Amino acid sequence: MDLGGGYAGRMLRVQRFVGGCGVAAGLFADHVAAGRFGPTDPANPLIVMTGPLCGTSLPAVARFTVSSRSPLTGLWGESNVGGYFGAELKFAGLDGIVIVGRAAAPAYLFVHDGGAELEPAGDLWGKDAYEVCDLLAARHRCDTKPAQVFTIGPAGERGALYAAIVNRKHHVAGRTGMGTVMGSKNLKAVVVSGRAAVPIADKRLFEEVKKRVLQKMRDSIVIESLREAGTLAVMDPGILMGDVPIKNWQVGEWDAGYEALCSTSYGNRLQVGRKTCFACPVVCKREVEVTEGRFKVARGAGPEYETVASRGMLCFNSDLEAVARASELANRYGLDTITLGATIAFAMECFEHGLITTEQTGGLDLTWGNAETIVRCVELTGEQEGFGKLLGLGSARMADAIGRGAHDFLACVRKLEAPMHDPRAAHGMGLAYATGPRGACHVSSLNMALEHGMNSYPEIGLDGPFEERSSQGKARLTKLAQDLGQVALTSASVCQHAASAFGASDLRDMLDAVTGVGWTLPELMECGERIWMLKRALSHALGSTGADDRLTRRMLTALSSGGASGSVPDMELMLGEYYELRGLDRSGRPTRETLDRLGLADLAGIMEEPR
Amino acid sequence: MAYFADTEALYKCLGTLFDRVAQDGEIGPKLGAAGMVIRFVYTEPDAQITVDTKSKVEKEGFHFTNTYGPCDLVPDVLMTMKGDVGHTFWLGKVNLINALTRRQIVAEGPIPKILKLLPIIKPTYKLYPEILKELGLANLII
Ligand code: SF4
Repeated sequence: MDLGGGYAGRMLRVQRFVGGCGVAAGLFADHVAAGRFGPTDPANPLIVMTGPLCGTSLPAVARFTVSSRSPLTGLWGESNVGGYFGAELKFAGLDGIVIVGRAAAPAYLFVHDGGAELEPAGDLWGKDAYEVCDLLAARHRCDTKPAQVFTIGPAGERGALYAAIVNRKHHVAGRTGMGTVMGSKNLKAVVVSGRAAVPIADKRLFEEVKKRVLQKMRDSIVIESLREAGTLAVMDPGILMGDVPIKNWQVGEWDAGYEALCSTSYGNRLQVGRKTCFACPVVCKREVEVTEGRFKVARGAGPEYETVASRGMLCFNSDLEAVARASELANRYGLDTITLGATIAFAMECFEHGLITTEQTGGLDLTWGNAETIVRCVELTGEQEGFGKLLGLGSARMADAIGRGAHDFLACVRKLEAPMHDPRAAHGMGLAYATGPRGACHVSSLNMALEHGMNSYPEIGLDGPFEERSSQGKARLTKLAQDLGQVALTSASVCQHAASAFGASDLRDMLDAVTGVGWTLPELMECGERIWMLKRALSHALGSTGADDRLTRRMLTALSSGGASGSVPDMELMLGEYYELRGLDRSGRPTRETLDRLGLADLAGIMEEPR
Repeated sequence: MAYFADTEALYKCLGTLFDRVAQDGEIGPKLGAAGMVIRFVYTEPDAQITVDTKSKVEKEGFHFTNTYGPCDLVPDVLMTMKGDVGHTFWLGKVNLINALTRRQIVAEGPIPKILKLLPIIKPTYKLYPEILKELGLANLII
């Protein structure tokens, strides 16, 4: 197939699915159609996929996705990550890698210009992700530059259900347990190294659009805030609007916590440097160091907003240094920070109500905010020892194991723990969580940018402003925000942060300049709709139904204080409107006409017989 | 109809609030530590309030200095908005990010530093309605 640029040129379906996660879902569907497999079966494909923009010098497009059947949810799983690995994969001449089977002994995959070898990894097995990043980057150099390493830590080897994959210490593909799938294949790491450049179809348009989006980024207060405060920038306004969940989603305000965990405190007490992803001028990553006190942290990757919120606010823990230590450990062990923090908070509530006792915890005191315990929980989960085995199941499966009303404390959708953005503060986000193809997800739709007032997309009819704590009109907003998100964020793999400065037509022009495909905006929106529907069909094929399009009781209980007090999303209203807009039947299943319209008729068969 | 009939009405409401905050034992010292000069320029009605958390404080019991009307200090941050936007902001009814991106509030200077002050000023959203009640202006609470 002759493609103008952006792609390595060996894939056939990019025009229907754009790239990244869209193409990965298309490939995954073939495997699902071919036979049944469980998440840790050798036949479960682990698909690492970049989008066409990755590896170019456009800003904030370094992200890529990892997809597979999720061990945590049992459904379609995907994780989106930045860093340098995706760009290096393009330099090695590949758009993506599909990994099936299981190595007889621990191995790592070395991919380089025009070749790939499976190398023994016996000496790496058991090592943490930071050590492996250093060792393999030094072992495989390309001219003067080190290779890029994408590795699991001990958690992925030992079967924690939400193990992550780590690139260059700062960049973690955490959600839905893709590291667990990698570990089940006896694959410790993938190392890439290459010299090729990504071809650009229209160099003049490329320079023009690059200049335009860079200027928009310079003018954006959101980007300015991210540059200044890292992802913690969302904590400060989030506190006001009630976006930050506290004490396992039970409390609306906690002034002492805000003070200890806000961006100023982080800047003063932890931060020693800043880092970025490939070719990104935002530089939102933070380097931290703690040299004194109970929780020392070696200079390195600092906790992001999701970690500070989940290990701090959610666990009612105001010890910022403990959060940083717990973050370093989670990265080293290779664990998803959101599920980990949410599961510890859930366990703390179970402990408060006597559903878990010190007998099960091995003597650990899970009292709210116990900083020592939080750090110890991360270690036990990473090692998969003692109480860590229970924590390693994630909160939903842990609730199944505990019973006795523990489900009332959950905040998840399709067994995936909700990120640290409260849908009571932005109702459309609740709908995006409920209908997220992988479960509760804030990075595959543009709801947050729209409802938090960071951006608007008038070219696709999303002009705003939108009343955050209202459910009116949110079905339409969410459908469009998801369709654009499926193209921009998960498939073209534009960074969500940067997307708050870009317009929809900027995205179209970026894709046009790089690929030369010439998509119109309506065509791209249809691609987004198709990708969402494909993932929906996949989740149906793997056992999910419309009955799972629900927020838990905890997330639908009004708070009595804070920015979101008294506010609860009207899920009935939003879901009814949403199903109609999406072309789903009343049970939430894609109709035959919808699949036909989107060119997905072949999926009807695999949905008939859940696997 | 605008919330503030004239400049005097604006100073009466927002001025009372700003002075109360400057004397508040909790919020005052935290804002006072910000080390910035912030100027609010209002239109409809025209008014100007300069909050100086940088210079030595002269007034007893105050943690920083507010100046109402023209002022020679060079601001680090300049925020321009209509009087109505200012009023609703201090009632906690304005999404600051939204207002900034839509230029209902036009800001010059290091915006992230302002956003960082949000958690500190949060208690003022409860204080302002109380002040309006004290001033016999409960009708302005929305
Ligand atoms: S904004 Fe931050 S996360 Fe996004 S690409 Fe840039 S440095 Fe990476």
